[in-house]
Amino acid sequence: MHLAGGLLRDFARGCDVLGGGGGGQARQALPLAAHAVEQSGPVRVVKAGELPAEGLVMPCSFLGAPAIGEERIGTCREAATLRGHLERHFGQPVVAMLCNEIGGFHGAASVALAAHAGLPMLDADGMGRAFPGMSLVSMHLAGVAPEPVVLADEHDRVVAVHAGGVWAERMARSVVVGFGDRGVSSEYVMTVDQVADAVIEGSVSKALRIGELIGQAGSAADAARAIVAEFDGVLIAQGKVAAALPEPGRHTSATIEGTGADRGRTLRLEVGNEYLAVIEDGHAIATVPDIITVFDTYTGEALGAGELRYGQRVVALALPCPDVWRTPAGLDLAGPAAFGLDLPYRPVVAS
Amino acid sequence: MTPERSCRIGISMERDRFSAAVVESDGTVLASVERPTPTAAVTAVLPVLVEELMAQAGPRGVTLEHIQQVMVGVSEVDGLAGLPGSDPSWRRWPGQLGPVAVVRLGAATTSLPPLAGWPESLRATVSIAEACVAGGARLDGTDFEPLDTAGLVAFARKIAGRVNAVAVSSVFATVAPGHELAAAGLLRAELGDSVPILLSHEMGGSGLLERENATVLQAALIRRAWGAAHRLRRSLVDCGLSHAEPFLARNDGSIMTVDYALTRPLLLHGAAAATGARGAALLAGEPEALVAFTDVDGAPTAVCSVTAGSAQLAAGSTVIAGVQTGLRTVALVPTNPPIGGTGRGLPQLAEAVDRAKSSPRDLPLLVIGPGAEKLVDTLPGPLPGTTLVCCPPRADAAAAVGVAVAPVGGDAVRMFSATSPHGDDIRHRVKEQARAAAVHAGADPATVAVTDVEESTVPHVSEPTVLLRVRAEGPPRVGWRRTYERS
Repeated sequence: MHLAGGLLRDFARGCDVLGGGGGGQARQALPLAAHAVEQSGPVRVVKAGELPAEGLVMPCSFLGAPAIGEERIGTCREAATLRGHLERHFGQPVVAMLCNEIGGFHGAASVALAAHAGLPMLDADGMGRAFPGMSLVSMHLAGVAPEPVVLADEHDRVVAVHAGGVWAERMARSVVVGFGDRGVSSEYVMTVDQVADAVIEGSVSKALRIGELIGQAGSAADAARAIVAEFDGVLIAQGKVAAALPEPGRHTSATIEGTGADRGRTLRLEVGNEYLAVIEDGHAIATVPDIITVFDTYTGEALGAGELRYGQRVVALALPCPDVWRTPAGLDLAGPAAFGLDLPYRPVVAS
Repeated sequence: MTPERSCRIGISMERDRFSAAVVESDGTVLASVERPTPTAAVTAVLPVLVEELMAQAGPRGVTLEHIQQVMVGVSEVDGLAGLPGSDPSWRRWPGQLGPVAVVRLGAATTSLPPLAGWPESLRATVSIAEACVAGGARLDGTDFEPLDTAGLVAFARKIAGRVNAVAVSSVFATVAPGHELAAAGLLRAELGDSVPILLSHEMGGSGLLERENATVLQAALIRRAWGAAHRLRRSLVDCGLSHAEPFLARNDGSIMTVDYALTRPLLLHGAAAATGARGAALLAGEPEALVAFTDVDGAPTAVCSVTAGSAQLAAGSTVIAGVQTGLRTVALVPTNPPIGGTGRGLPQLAEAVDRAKSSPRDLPLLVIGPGAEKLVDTLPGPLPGTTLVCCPPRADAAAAVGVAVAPVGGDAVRMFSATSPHGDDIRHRVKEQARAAAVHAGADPATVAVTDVEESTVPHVSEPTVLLRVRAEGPPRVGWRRTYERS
């Protein structure tokens, strides 16, 4: 399978759904990916089994502030710089790129990074959704060491951080500050034979399939129904946003009033960097780490948590998160309590 | 000699209709017309509408001598400018589109080079050369890269004699425009004074690509815009209005002088909706309201919201001729059904009314446009979410009234460190810059004043950074000295 042309658009749509309101908008990374593919050719999507066991897999993502990234749009050659550095450090070839965060901007942007680095993309990712912070990845739960964390800016300045645990993230952040709040990083580099237990497999094809379902659907509600049917999710409700005051980085609540068949229902949506929970009559219908997605029925796009406004007509759905987040260790890291919610985790179960 | 009365003519052009009004300086509407036009061009409708307006206003003691300004707004600029894919019913500005050269200061920005992602036909028509050369700034104002003066000179020599304009953009030009200004000097030395050089920081807005795209489109349009400005001034002379200064309406519903618009033709885009909303609020005496636009058959086409007498602008950017630009236009909610839905009637209007609001509060709905009366007559009863539905007097010409009473606006935006010891100095300077920008656009220097100050923090940036936006507004200047005479 190769990512190019119309498949890129499908992929980006799927990334926005899996973002659960977080991770920025994949549609904004689409021009990056399209240009990279035009320059370097389609990006091959591979399974771990197709790769040599001792080859390296390089996770890769953008770090920093979106407001800086809008001006300093970079070269995407940063990924090639990181690849060169890692190959010299390990004395092994890098054979594939791993998308750290399939949800939102990074999902689609990783196609651009892979294209410029001349690497195929592993059909997997580190989150299966979007999360704030770089330690909320399955590789962390699997015990893969994050170091060395290698960071590059658009002028090929490279810094390697050889520190484990919280120090890896702490040092990496200060490097990004030195870069001026924008950089590309790679951490949790693995060999192919480590990958099987450490990543969330199938994420790229899942995003693609979701995008394909959206493309085939006649309306946002149809798209939502098709997605929950195929991926064991639940359709939460169709309604309108009756109250929303999103503030970047803050935890707020929004209200969705049911319309049509859902008239009379009132849902509270807990909103942080992503959608954190849906609560109805005091009961949580869905919570993190499951994926809560809100479609705008007029544009057909998945609304980012910061885009919620009064009056939007929406359809909300929830998809189960990857199993790794449903383990006790996973819930410690990414359960409702980790996001400041005093709610039990009740897994989304397909009805 | 100053006449004892001061009046303005407002003209609003849609694709196939126009409206016009004579408004006294105190806001009294003395005359208005609204009708279809066979040719969507201001110069074509001007003689007709001046005659009709004066026939109405004459009995109230108004003569051409009393008209001090003529304000013109259009609904969209892409048709007028003849950009590929635009509506062909506009009489497009003749003359060449481009060719331009595009310079981006910022070598390490090639993840998307200039014009990447533009529709191929537009790109091929507009630009003959693009380059990324070293330059630009970082957020803290230091150099992103040292300016590559030799590279700029080499590029200038390559394009010399082959372009009608150059568009220059630069990383964080809105924070530190120094490299753009230096580049303009170098380019001018090579290309001569006759080639306009447009700089992205004058367009403003955050986001390198959207700012650059807008700057390139403006550069491409500059020849056509000059011709159009010349014809507008000439036709005013022909109508006996050589003493009246022409102003043009902008995307946000304010106005600017023709000179100011010459290098910023893109700002004309979307003005008719913004001035329509302003006119509706004024005519109905409802500064907080919703405004519904209608077509001639009495069908609602879109709804927008008005606060403090001005239309609310959309949060996002505007796509013009398939290109994303940083221009902010009115947040119009079309009365289309949702994706996959059908119908276009009252239920869709009620839903558009709700979607156009920013809170559940009931508001008056002001209906304007050629089918306003028809729509209000066919309403079976009160519309949900509204306190009343009304068709203000002269609703058909609301956009013309709105442009006639519009203020001249100016904005200044600045990002600076929240810990800067010079914070108050910077705030003071940005306010002065906003006032200066309004005066530059044609506001009366004696009365222009700061109308809005918005301070926020830039999210996720490690050094606490303030984003300060200041807007100043004032009435248009008076005492225009005629420079155009028909020999």
